[in-house]
Amino acid sequence: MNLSANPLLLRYRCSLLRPGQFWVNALVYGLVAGAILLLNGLLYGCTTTTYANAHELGAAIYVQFLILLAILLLVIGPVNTGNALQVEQAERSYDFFRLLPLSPADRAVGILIGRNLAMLPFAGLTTLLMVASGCVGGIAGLFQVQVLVALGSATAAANLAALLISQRQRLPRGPMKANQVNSLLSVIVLASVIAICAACVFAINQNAARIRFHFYALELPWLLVLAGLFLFAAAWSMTGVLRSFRVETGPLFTRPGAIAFLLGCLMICAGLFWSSFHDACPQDAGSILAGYVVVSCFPLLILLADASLSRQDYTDILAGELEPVTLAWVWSRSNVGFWLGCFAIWAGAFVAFGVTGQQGRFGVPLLLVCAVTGASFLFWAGLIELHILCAERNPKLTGLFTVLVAIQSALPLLLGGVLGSKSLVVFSPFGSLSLLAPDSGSVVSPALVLAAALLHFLLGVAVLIPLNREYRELARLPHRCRGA
Amino acid sequence: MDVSAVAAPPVLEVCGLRKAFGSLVAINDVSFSVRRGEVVGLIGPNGAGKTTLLRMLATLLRPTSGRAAILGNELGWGNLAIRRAVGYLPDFFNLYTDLTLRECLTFFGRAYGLPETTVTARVADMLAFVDLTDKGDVLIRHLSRGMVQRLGLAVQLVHDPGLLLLDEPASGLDPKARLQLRGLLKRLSLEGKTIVISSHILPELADFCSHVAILAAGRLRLFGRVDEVQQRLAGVRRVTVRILGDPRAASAVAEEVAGFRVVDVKPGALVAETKRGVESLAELNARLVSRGIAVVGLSEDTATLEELFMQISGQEGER
Repeated sequence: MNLSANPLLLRYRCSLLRPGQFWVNALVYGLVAGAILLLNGLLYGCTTTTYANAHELGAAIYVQFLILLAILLLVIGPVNTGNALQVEQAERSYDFFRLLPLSPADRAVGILIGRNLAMLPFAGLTTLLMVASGCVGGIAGLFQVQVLVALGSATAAANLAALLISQRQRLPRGPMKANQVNSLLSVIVLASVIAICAACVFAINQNAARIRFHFYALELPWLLVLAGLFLFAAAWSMTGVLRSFRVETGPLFTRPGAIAFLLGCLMICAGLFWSSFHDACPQDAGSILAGYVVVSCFPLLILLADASLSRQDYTDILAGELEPVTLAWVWSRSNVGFWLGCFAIWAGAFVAFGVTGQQGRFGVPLLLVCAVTGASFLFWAGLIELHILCAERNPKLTGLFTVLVAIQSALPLLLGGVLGSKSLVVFSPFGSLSLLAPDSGSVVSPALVLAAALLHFLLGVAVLIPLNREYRELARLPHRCRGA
Repeated sequence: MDVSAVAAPPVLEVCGLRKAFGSLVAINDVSFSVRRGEVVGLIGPNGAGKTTLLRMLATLLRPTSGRAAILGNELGWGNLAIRRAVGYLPDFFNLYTDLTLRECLTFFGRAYGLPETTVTARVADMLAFVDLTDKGDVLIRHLSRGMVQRLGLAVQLVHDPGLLLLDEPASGLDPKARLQLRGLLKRLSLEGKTIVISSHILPELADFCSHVAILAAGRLRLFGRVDEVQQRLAGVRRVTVRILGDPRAASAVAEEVAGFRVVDVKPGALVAETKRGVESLAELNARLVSRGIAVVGLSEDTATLEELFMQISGQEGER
């Protein structure tokens, strides 16, 4: 890929690097960087209490430039990147952008680099200042490299995620609109950024360069584990960005892609929890397993929003079929069918993780949790699919379905709390996680849990009935279209 | 008529194109073809599907079914060859307001693959074509709406596309800007550009359209040369004969010519109708002259595009 030939870089260079703008940016940066150096220099020269020696001064400046760099790369960068398409839309030039005969990779690179052309020189300068102050502060070279690798991978992930979110925000689709889930992810990314900064400060102050993190049986520097996670996120974000530029409409994930993403996430999740779960005492193991459940549910949530066909997608797919399709054909390609398949993969991974991690101590409770959550998932999936197919006709369904899910999930918990009954709690899919507690067997009988699962299953079946009618209508669609 | 143009493969070939948005069918089984140098005016009432059709041809919308080919390239999602071959001007647009006109045109020229050695000259040509040379180094945000519209046209011409798709190019323009734009479009048609243009302001099409496509409720009601369509809609050929002397004598002679029916007689003129071809007009003229009637003028009355539009709209309203 020839960067200099990328016309988007030319376009952004013209608009962002005009001398007037560049010198204003340079002045602002100079004032901030100068203030950091000046204040710390004054504190070092004029007082004896703040910094005892040049090492402490260097380490402090290192942290401050690290925070400045993180702000440039992880806040300003993603804001610039994420605004690119919004600006095109606001200026009503988006059609021209879409029509440019550029490959998806050229578009992505053009925006990622082009939109940050005004920021990147200052990020480079900050890196140099940070490394120099790190050397003065006696911070180990290897640790500095690890910090830069983690920051670099976080930058890639944050900027690509920002671009992906801005692409998806154009498409109000899916159950929860994709941008709602993506907003949630943005909060997670932002929280990660803050955590990185805090962790770096902690690491430097506590000389924690030697802190290790377990990934399955491997013992790795924690910054490298973090970098690996960000690279995973960056790789999938890049895949999504390229697909969104190439296809523009339709779900973000293809179905094989969604399964690969889910498997990757589950493997990583298991790797992160494996060591602590394996070595945990019986009292703690249940909590760790519950933590695994919560974290590993996130990819499922993403797939619910971003791997779902809209009504328009169904219409387009069915119109492509030359022969009339059957109801079974629609069911086999439906969102509900696919989501249930994803849940089966998740449940399989959960059971395998729980059984192997504690030498079979968790067996029946795992299956009971799967039964309750699986039946609940059927209910949720049915409602979400019904929403996808019917919300256009009746937007009020969103409120109704949200209330239904809230009641189904929270009411047993509330009643359990009010009446002091642990048995009632398992009627909530979230409450069913209490079955993983060491003493749960003596409080809740398996028969009661199975009754809870049956109740959720019946609710799910009740939702599938109107859904079946919608699918039947879709199955008739190609006939009608051709005749029209 | 340019025989080579007829023999050449069509620039645009549309076959059974269809677009459904859920249960709403916006474009239904539309088929037509456009040859090099033809200028097709796309007319129809609001919601007829004109914009949807143009956006599909520009690869901005994916057809539900059917096919289309532009310069031999099958319409496909994100087909870069088609995007290079087409210039598309949306109905309401703006350009990068933080660029100058020259920077903007250079950007589009480079993006569409013009060699660096020729892009500067091409940009200058385009600025001159749309009469904006003196504004070349002005930021786009300082242009008037009419100038932006002309610049938009220049942007779509900078890579010399084989097919130009223009969606309501004169909407929102004041009369002066509209006249300027019409002048540019006329020049393009004279230069042999292949253009598909939709517009509500029909007089601006009438001047330079060779063909007309009439869309209503997503279906292509009529497509053909303007005169053919006019006749097909009217069903008969209507001719006004201006004469010297008694028009009743002339009327009697005209009635003798096979297929002619006199529908109006007024001082110095008569109006007759026939379902026969254009040669019948020559026959009528010859017969009148041979009977000693002084014919000073014979003209065929054709429906304007506006009348066609109203006719189709009226039919849709009755439906």
